[in-house]
Amino acid sequence: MYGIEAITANNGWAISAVGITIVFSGLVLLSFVIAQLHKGLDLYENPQKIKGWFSLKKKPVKESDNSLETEGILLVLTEEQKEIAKQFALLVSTLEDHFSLPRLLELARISGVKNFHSNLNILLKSDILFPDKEGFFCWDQDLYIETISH
Amino acid sequence: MLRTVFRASGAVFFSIDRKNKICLNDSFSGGAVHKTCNEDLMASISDVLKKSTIFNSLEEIDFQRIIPLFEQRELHTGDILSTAGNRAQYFFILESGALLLAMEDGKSVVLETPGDFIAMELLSDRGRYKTTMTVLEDGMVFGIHRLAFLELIQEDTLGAAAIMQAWQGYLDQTAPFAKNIADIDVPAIF
Amino acid sequence: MDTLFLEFFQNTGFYLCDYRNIIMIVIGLVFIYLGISKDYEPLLLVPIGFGMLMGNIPIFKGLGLGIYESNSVLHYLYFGVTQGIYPPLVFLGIGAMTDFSTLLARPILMLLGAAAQTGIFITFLGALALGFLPNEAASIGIIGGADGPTAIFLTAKLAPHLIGPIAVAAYSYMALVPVIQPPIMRLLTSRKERLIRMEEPREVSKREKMIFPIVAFLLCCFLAPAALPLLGMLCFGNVLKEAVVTERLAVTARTSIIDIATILLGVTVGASTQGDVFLTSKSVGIFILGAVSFCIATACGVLFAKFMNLFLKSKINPLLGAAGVSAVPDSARVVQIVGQQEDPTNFLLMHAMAPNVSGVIGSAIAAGVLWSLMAKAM
Repeated sequence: MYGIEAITANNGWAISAVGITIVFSGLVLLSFVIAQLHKGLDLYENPQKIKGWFSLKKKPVKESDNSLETEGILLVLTEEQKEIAKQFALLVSTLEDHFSLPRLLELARISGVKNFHSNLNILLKSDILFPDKEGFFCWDQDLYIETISH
Repeated sequence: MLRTVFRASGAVFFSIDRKNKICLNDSFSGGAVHKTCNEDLMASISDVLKKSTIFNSLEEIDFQRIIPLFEQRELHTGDILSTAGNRAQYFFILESGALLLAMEDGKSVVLETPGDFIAMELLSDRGRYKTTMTVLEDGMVFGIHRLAFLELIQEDTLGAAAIMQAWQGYLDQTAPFAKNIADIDVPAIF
Repeated sequence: MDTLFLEFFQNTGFYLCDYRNIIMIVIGLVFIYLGISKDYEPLLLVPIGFGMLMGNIPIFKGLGLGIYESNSVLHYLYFGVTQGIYPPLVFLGIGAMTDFSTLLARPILMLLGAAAQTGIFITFLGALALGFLPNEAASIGIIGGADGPTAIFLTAKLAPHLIGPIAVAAYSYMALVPVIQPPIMRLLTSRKERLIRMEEPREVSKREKMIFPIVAFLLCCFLAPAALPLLGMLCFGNVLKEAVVTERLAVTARTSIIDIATILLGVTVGASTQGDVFLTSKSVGIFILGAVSFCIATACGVLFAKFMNLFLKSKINPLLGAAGVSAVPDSARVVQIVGQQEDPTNFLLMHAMAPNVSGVIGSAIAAGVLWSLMAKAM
């Protein structure tokens, strides 16, 4: 006997279907269990998380990913640097909220801003200029005002 | 099945062809280039590599093999380290200073952490620089010849796999917009 | 004196030799050459090749020399094959050297290993259609699992007369994975799909790695108890590895035990491939079906990955489906190479190890299922 007849006579279709189903089911079940395993272990190691589920949710504080520090520590600029920062502020006002940093640098060069590379770097270190993670940069007006008024 | 399992568990280090060790006949972008001969320099390179999230998981033997591939270059504020459109010769690792990487469409990223690696999607595309790098703060970089690095990462070793895995994480953090995503019709071959 | 010399001559291999012995000896020599000179799976091909030489020396039957003679040394050693002793010992060693962390980091890739085992059952149907008996067809189908010990284990249980050709087919195709898989992978995927980058996998804790083999063993063997000998030893070996306190046993398992089992398995399987048993039309059918099985398994893995991408936000590179064929780690390496041909910086090796090792588990389950279904039918 050959061909489809042989397969049918030997119950081949059923055997294949059952076999594939069992192999798949086994591995699906195993993958599901493994996917939950690390969560279960995490709860076992940190039982306070279970308590956390029942307490009010707090909005997580955004981490500063900047090496320059945060609250209350402002970069102290010299008078000359403050003047240059004002020039940059003027240039930024001609750009969009999310602007190209190379474009700002070019504008600074054209406008004759002194030591525009290092001064741009100072604004970056002070977080007055900060990245938006999309390849563009933004200007923190509040921080700028606070910095130049010190 | 067995031999290859044995091989996979044993192979750790790169095999670097001697001919890829750069002998410093070509400089990069006209800056001061130092030979990687003296011990202090090797120690500096080693420190930076160990700080770098890309390379810090390598075995010591891998470090000893790749350190001689790097060349030192001083950075001066305002220097242009690479110009978009030029032939891409080097990848860089930052020791100190700050660099502005200006990419297409006005996008950019500033790198200032020692150990930051400027390579592949961040820097080149099919053998040409796609990024103009400007120095914002005096410092130092170490350069590795592009082809030597590409040959390294194409080695079938755990070290190469570790570098590439770390690179993906680094790119996700540093410049996810520069990633070579599947939507892009033509891939960047670096 | 002339009579004595004549009698002596009539007992030599030169007199007793026929063309089938010569053919098998040549094949044995080719295997040894491929193993030593070309470095194609030498740990398997050299013992099998030499076993072929041993098994095809023309001998006078009745002297207790041949592997099929009950009082011969080779027969006693062959006992480990026919009774399914060596394959579980090999799996013990494999478990003691396998790192399941890539699988644990992204469990969904396990399904690619499951999909690739579909090739086993499709080949089973093909073998039935060609006129093989069900137990023979099951033994032929398992070649598609690309797992030598599993193929030998199942064949020893279901169709021991086919161990020789099935083992030779299985190991030959495993050595040819870098040749067989890439064209199928390219045919079934678009360039855009091959360029897909995988997300970085999460860190896997030591505790997870320790718990996994126990959970996997209990779950899979409750589902398919016939997979107990292979899966049990695989998981046991892994427990020895991950529980650092038994490192000494793990080292023994992945060195001495696996080496001894491999040597005896290889040489006795090779010796069993005697010309009159091996050179039959059935063997040709087995070789053809074996190749088909590999191809179907690769295709099923790749296609299932594409199917999964219809539902996943974070896409899987469909090339990883080919690594579901459990030729560890050759098929994972093939995925890496094909992926890098499109994009030299796309590192798929670590990701491909996940379906690769799940394929080992899947093929062991498939073997268990086939054994239990065939045992009922027999």
